[in-house]
Amino acid sequence: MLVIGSQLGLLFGLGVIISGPIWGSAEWGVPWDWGDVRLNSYALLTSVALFLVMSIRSQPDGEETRDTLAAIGLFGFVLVPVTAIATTLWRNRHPGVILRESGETGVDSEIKQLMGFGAFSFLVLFIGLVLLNYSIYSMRRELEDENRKIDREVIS
Amino acid sequence: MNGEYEAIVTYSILAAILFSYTFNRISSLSKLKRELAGNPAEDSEE
Repeated sequence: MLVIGSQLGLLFGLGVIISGPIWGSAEWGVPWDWGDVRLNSYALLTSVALFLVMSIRSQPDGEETRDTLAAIGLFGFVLVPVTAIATTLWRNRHPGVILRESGETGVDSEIKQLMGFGAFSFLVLFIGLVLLNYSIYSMRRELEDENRKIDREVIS
Repeated sequence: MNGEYEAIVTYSILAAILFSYTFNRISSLSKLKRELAGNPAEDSEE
């Protein structure tokens, strides 16, 4: 699950990190703001995912490697709520929660529907990719078991 | 222009990333299915 989670975290994270600055340049006039906590904590989170993906591919699989990577994964897990509440605690470039209806905030119902549709589509895509990756890793394991069985038969 | 160009570039990049990753995963899955079925010859033809 760490492998799947880090891969998908990197995929969706890169999507945000690449598209965000393009949007930021158009809307804010600057692509990046080093003083905005959400931007930087999200970039750190994506870096953790990148580190995990590269480590899993380059390091030999073993108990020690798995323990180390799991600990780094936990650090990434802590960054998730920090990123989520960053705009409430430290408001800088990003606005606070805008979906809540109040005197200062609120979103047009048409935009709200569109956002809901977008969020739902990404959720479906995410679940589909998790299932797809899960099948791949289960099959890989099955194939390795079969190969090991054949090797044993040949030796004996 | 009210950010239309930026929007087109942004969505094109997102679509390219998501499609290439999904396509890569689906090809891995079909390759593994063929290997498990004991027919790896088709893979070498690709």
